[in-house]
Amino acid sequence: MSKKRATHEPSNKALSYDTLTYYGGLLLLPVLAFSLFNWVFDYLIVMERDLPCCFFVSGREFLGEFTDHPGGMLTWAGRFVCQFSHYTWLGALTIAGCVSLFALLLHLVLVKRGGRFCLVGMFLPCILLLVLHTLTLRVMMDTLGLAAMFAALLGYLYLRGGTPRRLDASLLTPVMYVALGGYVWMFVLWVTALEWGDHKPRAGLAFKVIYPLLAACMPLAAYLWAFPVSLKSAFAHNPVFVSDLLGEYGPIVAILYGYLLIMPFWPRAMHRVRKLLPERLRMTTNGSVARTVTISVLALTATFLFRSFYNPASRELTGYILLYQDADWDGILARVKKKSSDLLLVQFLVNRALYEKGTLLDDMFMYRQGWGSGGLVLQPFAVKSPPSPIGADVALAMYNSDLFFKMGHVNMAYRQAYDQISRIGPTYRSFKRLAECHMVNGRYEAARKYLALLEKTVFHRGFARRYKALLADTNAADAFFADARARRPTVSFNAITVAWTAFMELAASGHRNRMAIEYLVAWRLLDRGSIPLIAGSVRCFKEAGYSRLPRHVQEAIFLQEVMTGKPVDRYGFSYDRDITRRFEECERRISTLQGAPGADSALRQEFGDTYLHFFITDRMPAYNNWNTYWSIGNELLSRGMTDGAILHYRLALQYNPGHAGIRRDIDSALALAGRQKKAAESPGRELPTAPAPPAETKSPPAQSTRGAQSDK
Amino acid sequence: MKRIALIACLLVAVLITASYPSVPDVSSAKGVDASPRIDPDYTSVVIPPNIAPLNFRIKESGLDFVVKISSGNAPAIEIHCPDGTCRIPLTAWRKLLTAAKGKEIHFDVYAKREAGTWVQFKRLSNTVAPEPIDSYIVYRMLSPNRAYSRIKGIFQRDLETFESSALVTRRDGTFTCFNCHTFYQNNPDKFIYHMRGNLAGMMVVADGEMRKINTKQDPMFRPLAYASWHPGGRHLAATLNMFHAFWPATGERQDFEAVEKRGDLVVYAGEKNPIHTTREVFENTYIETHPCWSADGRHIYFVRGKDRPLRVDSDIAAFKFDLMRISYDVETGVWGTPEMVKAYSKLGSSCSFPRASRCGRYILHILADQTTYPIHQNSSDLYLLDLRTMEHTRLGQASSDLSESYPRWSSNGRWFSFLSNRRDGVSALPYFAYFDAQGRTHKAFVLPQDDPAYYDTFIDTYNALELVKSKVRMSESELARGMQQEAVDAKFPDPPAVEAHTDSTQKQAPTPGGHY
Repeated sequence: MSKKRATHEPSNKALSYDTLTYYGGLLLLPVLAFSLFNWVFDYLIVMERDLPCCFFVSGREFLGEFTDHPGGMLTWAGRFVCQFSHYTWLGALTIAGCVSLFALLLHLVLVKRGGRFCLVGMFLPCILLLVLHTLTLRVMMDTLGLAAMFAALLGYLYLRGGTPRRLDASLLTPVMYVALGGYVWMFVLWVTALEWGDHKPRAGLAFKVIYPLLAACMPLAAYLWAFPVSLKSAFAHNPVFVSDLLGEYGPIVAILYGYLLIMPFWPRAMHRVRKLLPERLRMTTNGSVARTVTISVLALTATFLFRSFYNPASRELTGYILLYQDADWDGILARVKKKSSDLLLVQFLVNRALYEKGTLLDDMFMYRQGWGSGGLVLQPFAVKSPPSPIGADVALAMYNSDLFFKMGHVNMAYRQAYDQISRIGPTYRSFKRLAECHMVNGRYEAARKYLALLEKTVFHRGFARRYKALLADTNAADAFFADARARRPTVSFNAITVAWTAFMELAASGHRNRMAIEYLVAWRLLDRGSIPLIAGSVRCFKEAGYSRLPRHVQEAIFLQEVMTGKPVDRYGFSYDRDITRRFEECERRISTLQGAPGADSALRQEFGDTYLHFFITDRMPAYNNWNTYWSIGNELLSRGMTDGAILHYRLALQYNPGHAGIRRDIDSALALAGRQKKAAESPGRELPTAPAPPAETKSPPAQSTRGAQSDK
Repeated sequence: MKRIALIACLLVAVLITASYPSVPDVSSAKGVDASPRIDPDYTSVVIPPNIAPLNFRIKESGLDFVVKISSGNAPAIEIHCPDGTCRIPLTAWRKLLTAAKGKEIHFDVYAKREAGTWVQFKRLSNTVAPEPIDSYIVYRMLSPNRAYSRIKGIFQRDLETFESSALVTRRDGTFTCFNCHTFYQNNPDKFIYHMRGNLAGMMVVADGEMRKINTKQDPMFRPLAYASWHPGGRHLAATLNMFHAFWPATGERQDFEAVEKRGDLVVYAGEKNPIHTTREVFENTYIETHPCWSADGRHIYFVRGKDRPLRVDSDIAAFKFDLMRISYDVETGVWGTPEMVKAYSKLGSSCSFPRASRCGRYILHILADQTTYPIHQNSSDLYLLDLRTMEHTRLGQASSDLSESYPRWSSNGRWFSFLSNRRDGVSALPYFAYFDAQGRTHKAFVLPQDDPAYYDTFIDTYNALELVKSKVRMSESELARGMQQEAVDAKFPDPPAVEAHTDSTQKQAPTPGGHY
């Protein structure tokens, strides 16, 4: 009887549109998908290809990481396809392939259910799925899950007779549950509904009742005996519709999955709806006009949706990221000059480009520095509104890692990469960095492990093989990394974990590391509370062989002289004439424009490229606190750098005036400084052999003791 | 039909047999005066008679390899290793070890050279001890150098085969940390472990039942951590600890270091959940940690260091710990006073992880230059203190130039396990060493793996390795469900009148972030 019912499916004729349009649409879909993700939403691929969702290593060990929860195999398969996002075009091609597979299977199911050539029923879900792909690359896994469900349903539909179908469903369901996780519920619902809908109520009644119940028990059994996952996770692990990423994509997901649930019944439902329509109206739904209207509506819907979910900020950022990856520093500066940007990462990249062009401390305030020191070294607290769909500060950690690695602070670069792995999982970039750091630090065995893993990847094996070949000869490797080793810090401010102490460690290591010096001073410029420390950096510039003080440093120490009324030891450097002139002009303009409408923009226009303007308009909260300054003071004091210590203790006291511990420490530092001064002044007595003070901690002459004297 | 099926079966059998590589004839091999290099290094070691096959790779050049493993009159195992990877069949290995108990087993390695001739390297020999090792290990797996916790979970591994399984994991991201799993006398059915985060508590697993205890009771500043079961099985000596972590900048010290800034000793009596302590070991002048009951259950060994200001990098070096003990009567709950067992700080060393031997004569422990966190200190080595002579000896056969940590005795006292990062300086791996009846320690060997190249891509680290007699019968799912239960509060009937919160002089990182 059931067989008979199955053959009496609704006629296709009444529902069918023109074959050419339909198949044309099917062929157009991969082209549309590829075009969208290669040219419009390419930012998604660029931003996410270095995230764990694209990390895939061949081998049993890696596969084993996914088999400990239901749906693990689907995650693994998703990772496999996502790895092809290494090239934007290949990533776009992969998305197009996945969506086309989905479309093809959807088409086959619809055809099997008698809904041939239904444009809306076919293409609306494809469009929605493509829109969903703009959320994250991880959706490729969901597309594969959906395709697998359709394939299973198709197999079920192609079987003849109730018993083989039921046997198929009974056997397939637990397998799919283990492999595909939460997606199995679509299959279970489809099969249950088809069994009840397509057959007489009493036909296969036992199966109809028991099958859904047993299916619902699967996660319970998995929860109790098989997988140590929570019950919620046992029921619905993996699918995007249970993801917390959704946000504004919620309605899209609801419509898509809602439609897919009723999809096997769509042709019949449409047939019944049409039957209810008056004959005249029914006639109008056929023919070219109706087809044109349908296509237009679909096209408009698609355009509207893609426009709505297009993220111009991410697009903008992608342009910078690509330039950064190509080390096109001129390109970055040209781009930001053309159109300024408020994005955190853009500020970071612009500062990096300025450094690379040798103008960081001369030109940094010509560009927006709205994120303060957080835009010099990316700070997690600064990422309140992530400009990218990645949404996590840790995704940015590798930019910091690149910075520190280039600077020579290998351990800091290592930590940044490690932190990223610990928090969001492994990425190709972090693995490469760990390998590099181990190699620079001479830990070749540890480096080989990461290289061995990278060798098991599709796109990064070249990197691994290059370095493995290098490591084959230890002497050659030592020679290769000698420069990088020599630039590493020799001083460890171990008690403090803030990023800018890394600059201090490098600056204090006596390598005359220009990058560290410039970033340290740039940090102090961007962190208004640190202005008293800038004057102490002048000696660094002298020792590192600068022929003149960079413009913003001149502005800062001139400002300090004005504020404190005390001269700063400039170690022979002089102010550019322009510095004093513009400072005075700025002061004049400020008093002239006091309270005037548009004063802010006028000042920005005239003096926006100066440190003074940044100093008076910056609203970023001070990054440092008393604890940091106190700790640094302790570190400096322990190395005999009393001047620097006193300066830092004083800053700590500014933030926490009543702290007895700091007062105690400053007293002992002052006493020590006094003793050192006395020892230096008394003829014939030998100076205590303290380590050479770092130039950046040198104080103004009024407070200065040893640092200034030893130079005089 | 039956005939066709029979022929098909025969064909399959013939194909399988034909595809199986037969062992080449090496009878004409010429001897070379060199030992073969193999990885892992399973040469001149004493191995337990119940250990899994010591699979290895031959690191010599050659077109083909053959390995023959033999011992006395026992049937030899011949293995053809075309790519130099020697995987020993489990059944044959088991038989060989059983026959070779107390004797030597020999590994003859043959290599085919380019000329097509076979050469035989010098014979490698290992000794099979008469006493078996506990057949399972339970360990924690985590990232070796983390700023943010990424603990994969607690796992168990059969030492007699290569089978491993998870015990406690965080696959849903539900739990943030599991730590300090501690077994009662290597018994897989009785142990504790701690959870931190939203399901925090101490899980006590005993004879198929689970209880969850909230051990963080006033005036305790932390829940319990390091622990040791009393031989009677009802009491736990435990410490509550506070760590500070550091990330050095200089190249020689790449991985993070930690210092215990506060540690206090308590005894938790299992049944009614009371926690007892005394001011002598619950105060902030000294840091007490790493407790361990003596074999007779009358004393608790622990390490103690003076609390000091921790202001700068160089201050870390001043944190040195001595080996101490204190008596505690589990019947009356009476504490004694702390006694110095060995003043290691005066010798310039710092003691950690003391473990009393079953016979009561020895204390196996770690000595490093500083702190109680030896795993990232190259100076850390295994030491044995003889309580009769009070002499301490470096276990040179088991120690290396890099770090050793976390030693544990087997239930029969003839073996001990420990962790060492000697292979690459980063990942700690499990090692085992034989401790013979004369009190001598033999060369240690690394945990064998089915794939001898396993450690080449192993980037995690083993942690808190415990030897247990057999498989933990409680399943992972049961443990996961048990962890969901509400924690019962432990009681602290006689809290010592001390300031529980340490007056740390450590400067904390600034509030916003700190790592970027």
